[in-house]
Amino acid sequence: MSVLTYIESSNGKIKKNGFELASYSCELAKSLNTDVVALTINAEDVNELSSYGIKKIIKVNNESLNKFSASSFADIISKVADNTSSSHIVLCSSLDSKYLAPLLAADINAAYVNNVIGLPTNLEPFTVKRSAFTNKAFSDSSVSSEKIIIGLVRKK
Amino acid sequence: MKILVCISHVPDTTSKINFTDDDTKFDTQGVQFVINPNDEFGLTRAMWFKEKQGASIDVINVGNSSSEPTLRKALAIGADKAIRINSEPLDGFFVAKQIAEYVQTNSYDLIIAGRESIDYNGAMVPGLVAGLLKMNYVTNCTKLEIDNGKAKMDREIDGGKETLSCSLPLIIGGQKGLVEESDLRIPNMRGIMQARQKPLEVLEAFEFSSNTNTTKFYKPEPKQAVKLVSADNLDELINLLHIEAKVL
Repeated sequence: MSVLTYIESSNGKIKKNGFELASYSCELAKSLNTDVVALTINAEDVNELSSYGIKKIIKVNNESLNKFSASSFADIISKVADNTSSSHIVLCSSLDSKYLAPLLAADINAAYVNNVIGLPTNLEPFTVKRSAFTNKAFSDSSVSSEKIIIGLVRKK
Repeated sequence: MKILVCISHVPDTTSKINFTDDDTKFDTQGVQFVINPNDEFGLTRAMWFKEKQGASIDVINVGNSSSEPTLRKALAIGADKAIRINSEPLDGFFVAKQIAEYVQTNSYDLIIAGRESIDYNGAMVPGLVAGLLKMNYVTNCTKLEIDNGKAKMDREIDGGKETLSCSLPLIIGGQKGLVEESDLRIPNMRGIMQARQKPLEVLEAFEFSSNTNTTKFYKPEPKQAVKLVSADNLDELINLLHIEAKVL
């Protein structure tokens, strides 16, 4: 069991929300008493992620992936999640990640909780706080699936 | 061309949000329910295909009998048939499984869903249906044209838009831009009368358990009063930022 986080990049550079995601994933892994694996696709310099606590990074570099494709990216994340035995996959709330997340969830039969605004409030069952009703309210969602995809919302 | 439009039955955007049963359930008392706005953009676009290209439109909802007025409104707007999967919509995966199960036995060229519902903002149903059925899928769709079995569409991306094309069958997550708000249709009396005669099929849900459960709702804390700090009193400002705002 590990935490896998997909860190987005643009023109080879890690996007700013990637560092936030890295910090969150490390804290999540700490609470689950496991390790974090970061996945990047066509990112060049990923060393900065280590200063946010990431110790293991899987870099996928392939010219055919220069243009975002939800199904291809979901397929890669699915394979990496399988190889790393990841139970928790952390994604950001960009339009691209929101696009690929349900495809990934269907592929690996995972629960998908998005708009998550913090670390889990409970581990048994895994419970997270999310925004709902277009930010007019929040909810606690508990998850019963063994595999969980977490869509993290950036703090405002 | 056969089109299926997925309809969510959601509280009106102007509704006051309250909770009941020790904040574990949404309080529907006095709340007006409507077609999810993103779904309505999709339904209106589907009407355009019906009028220009002779498409047929079915609408589907996973919900209990309280969602039937919403489905009747979709019929009054111009859909030909409504299907209600008789179950509480337990979570996005549950709803997607029900729709995917229905589509497997009733094929469609185009499935339109809103990119997200305005209640739970899940943004997952069209993607999950596409993933379960291995169909072409585009979300955040702001423009859709179909010609000779080929779809051409615009998709909103972070900081812009991209144009994509693919063959049918296709499922899209639609939003504003598919049509504009001024294009949305208010059912007229003739449409409302015709809707009463149109078929509304109720099917029992396919057995599947949800994998998420909402255990509690909260409302945001009310905003606190503004504190004005004199420009001469920087120590107090720093103290407030450190102790109260906790940003230093």
